[in-house]
Amino acid sequence: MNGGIRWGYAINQWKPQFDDFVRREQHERALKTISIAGFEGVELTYGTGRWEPLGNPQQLAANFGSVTGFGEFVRGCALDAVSSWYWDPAERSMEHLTGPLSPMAEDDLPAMVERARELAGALPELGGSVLVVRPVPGAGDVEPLGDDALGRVAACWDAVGRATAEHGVRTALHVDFLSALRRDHVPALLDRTDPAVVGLALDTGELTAGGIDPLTVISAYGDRIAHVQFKDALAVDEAEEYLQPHAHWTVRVRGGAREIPRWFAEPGADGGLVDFPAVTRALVEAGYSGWIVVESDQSPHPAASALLAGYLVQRELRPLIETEKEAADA
Amino acid sequence: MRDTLRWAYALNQWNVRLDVFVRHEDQQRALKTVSACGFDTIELASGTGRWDNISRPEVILLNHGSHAGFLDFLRRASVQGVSSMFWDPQAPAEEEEGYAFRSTANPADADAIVEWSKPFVDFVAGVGAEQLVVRPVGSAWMTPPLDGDGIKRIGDVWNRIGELTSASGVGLALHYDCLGAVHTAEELTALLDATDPASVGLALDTAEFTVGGIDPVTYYREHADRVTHIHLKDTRYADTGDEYRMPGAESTMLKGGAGRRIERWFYELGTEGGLVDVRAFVAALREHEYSGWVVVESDHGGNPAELAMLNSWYLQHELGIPKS
Amino acid sequence: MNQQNIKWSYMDHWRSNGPSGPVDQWHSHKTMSAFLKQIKATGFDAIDTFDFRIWQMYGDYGGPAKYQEMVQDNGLERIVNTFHAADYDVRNYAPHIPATHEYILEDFRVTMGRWSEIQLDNIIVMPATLYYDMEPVTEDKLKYTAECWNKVGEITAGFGVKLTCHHEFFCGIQSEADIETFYSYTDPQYVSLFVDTAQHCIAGVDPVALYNRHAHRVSGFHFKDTRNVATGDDHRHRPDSEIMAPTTGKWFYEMGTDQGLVDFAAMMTAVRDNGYRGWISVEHDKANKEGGDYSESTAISRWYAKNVLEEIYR
Repeated sequence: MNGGIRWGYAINQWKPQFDDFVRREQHERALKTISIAGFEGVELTYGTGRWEPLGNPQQLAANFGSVTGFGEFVRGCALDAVSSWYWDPAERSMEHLTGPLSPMAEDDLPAMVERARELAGALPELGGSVLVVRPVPGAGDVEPLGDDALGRVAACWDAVGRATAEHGVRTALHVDFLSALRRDHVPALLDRTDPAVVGLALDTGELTAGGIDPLTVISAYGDRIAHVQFKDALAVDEAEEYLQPHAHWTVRVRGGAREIPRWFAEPGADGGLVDFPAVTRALVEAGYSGWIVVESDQSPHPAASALLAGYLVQRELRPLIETEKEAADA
Repeated sequence: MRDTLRWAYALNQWNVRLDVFVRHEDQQRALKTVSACGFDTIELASGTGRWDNISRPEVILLNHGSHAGFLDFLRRASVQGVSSMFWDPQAPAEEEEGYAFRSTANPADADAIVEWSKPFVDFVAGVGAEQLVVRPVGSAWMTPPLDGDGIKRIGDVWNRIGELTSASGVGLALHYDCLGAVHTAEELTALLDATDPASVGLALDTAEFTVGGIDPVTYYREHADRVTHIHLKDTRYADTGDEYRMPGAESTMLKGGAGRRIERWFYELGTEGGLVDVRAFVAALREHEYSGWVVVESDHGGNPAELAMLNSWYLQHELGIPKS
Repeated sequence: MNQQNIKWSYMDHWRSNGPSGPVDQWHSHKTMSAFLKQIKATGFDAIDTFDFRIWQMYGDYGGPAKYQEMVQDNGLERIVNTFHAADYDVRNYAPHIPATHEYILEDFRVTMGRWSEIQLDNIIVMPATLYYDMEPVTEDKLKYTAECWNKVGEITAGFGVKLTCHHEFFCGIQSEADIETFYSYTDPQYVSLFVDTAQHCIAGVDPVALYNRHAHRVSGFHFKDTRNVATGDDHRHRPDSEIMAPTTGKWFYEMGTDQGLVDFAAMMTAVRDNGYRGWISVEHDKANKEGGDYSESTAISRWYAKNVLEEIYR
């Protein structure tokens, strides 16, 4: 088990558009690709409606008979587990007839907790243990987070964390490069949450694109890291374009003023800025135990991205963990 | 295109790998795309073997029975004919020429190259095309430096082939490209001077000239009487000086980004940041009452149908040429 | 070309290859510009779009009128039709369930207001929920559905826009008998028929005969092709038929495709013989599935329109 670290791959890169990646045979091919690339688990991304068969527990049941049925499908593709589920509460739910939910709105709290409980409730059966969440909206889409706002957000995620903990699932706050938490708020929020139920999801690509060195985050919050995502960054938002409204579209999708063709890619991609061996070593030193989910975010060639990432993990990163462990044991 | 200039479209951009663009239905779709874009004439490019069945004369004839059979195939897609065919004698032809490497710069190869040209000359004449467009010399990185005599020897080979094309009633046009051993404007002019204006002309490719450091508008104005064929395409980059001499420049420069991460050299007309002044070039053609074919191409630049449609849009809406 | 009876519009669907995988034309101003240029280059005269695009029209272009200016800057006439892709749900949005009607009517009042700065010809709807959400399809349900669209049609008519119905093979009203019953209950003044050649063909309905029967109330067409007729439970496959039917990975092909089942020559002859004048929309929904390419499909379909159909009627 590589000292408590397990490797997964994220499914999101296979679905570039809403009408893509809907059919069973496509899912099967993707899962088999992830498996043969050397990964044990797959991370799902929350989605809604009938063209998101892997998006939520209701859709899994509609497509596979039950969550258990989906678990069998995953294991039939020679993967051990669904490691985790990524959920942005701003995504609506056609199944519940609800619009975007906000961790900053107290009225949304019951629905937030209920939704998180449903996702977390499905995970143990699938072998998973982490609900990865977008803790706050993008910086350009909310007022700067003051004390009150941070207090409400912390209370929300504590409540969510307690609910997911009932299923043995950790809630991990995923700070992306557009996040209102990007600069100074991570500590402010993290310090207000309960370490027993809320942790941090470290995403190497998002941090790097946001101008934050993942190594400094590991050294400062190593004990709070509950989930890791390995993706590479191909550019840095140095001009702080993330502060603009609708940066999700204008910056992430369209590349901002510089028209960055691609912010992210699988680890080890040509031009990648993240030092993965160093991050891996730091995680081992910090005693991290849990999933490292590798992803490309989006890719022109999803299968190639998974295989190239698998090569890096098998040939370099996994052996490095073993070496570090041996050195520590000696 | 309804214009005083005669417009054609090159099919080479569809044939990007050895195992694609082989099935007739794929070729029909490309021809219909070209037709829908307003072009009723195409340029072919040479290739080798049974999978180059719209590229190699003998194989085209095997597929369609005769020149007339091939023209019928084109006309099914409302494409009326062939303007020209491109041939590079330096590119080894596996099945038809025994995979021999030959070069017009090597006098010992001259007879064989003249012999190899015959199926092309026959085919170009047979389908009623006007020009055999040829790569006059191999890449600079593979060729010893050429002095005046060397260029003259190359010219002699093409003069011999020019006699064959003239006898068959078609033209022979030497196509300058950005990697060729004839590289500078002076060398190119020397090559033209070494050939017979009565039978040998120049195929001026706007993007290749620009990458190679020759301004296509200026060169055209100075040598309009020798220009018998045009390839119109754009580029966003020029060789910084010596990139064309990189070993394996076909790969290392044109496909490998020349160490500058250039993903693609050739672009459709109207591309953002394009270096070719297409408007000025076409105006120069009109000024000189150019009477040959203008072949639009985008080489291996991206999605072929998309590029054909964008090229068509440019001709219609930027140059104001009615489609029909 | 002095007397042009038919003009061709292109229905929105589009993908091109971006640096991180496929993107649609709304991805950026550049991809939109490339899309419009390609549509125009092949000889289309206008575009159709989807209702849900209005957010991008407002967000990126300053609204439908401004977006239409960009369309016109690229040589196209205008936006002709919009397709109202609703989230049908028996809990709150189901034309066969009268309790949901007010919600639907309000949706259209709001929607038509959003579009009111430009003049559309049609707002196109799938007139029923998914088949499995409506079955068994009874006369009463058809009647309730007709009542719903009669009222919606009155609202859209107030904006000078026709409400027109497009019968997906997987929606509740797709068989010949149910379509006939449905139209017998709708008011021709307020509810039109939009003939999608492929959808009817997949549902086993002859689009030419259907058109001939209802020509007086046909307000437009989607010309697209298919290679498969639905069999078994294809039309009621849970949770989805359009992409997920086990029998068929790709239902739709561009007009002019090999092995197409639609008799377009007969269709165009019928269009001529019924004296139709106006727009025909060309669509190839999900053309990029299974290795297809939107640009090429667009060229092939426009080639077919020019070289085959315009020889029959133009």
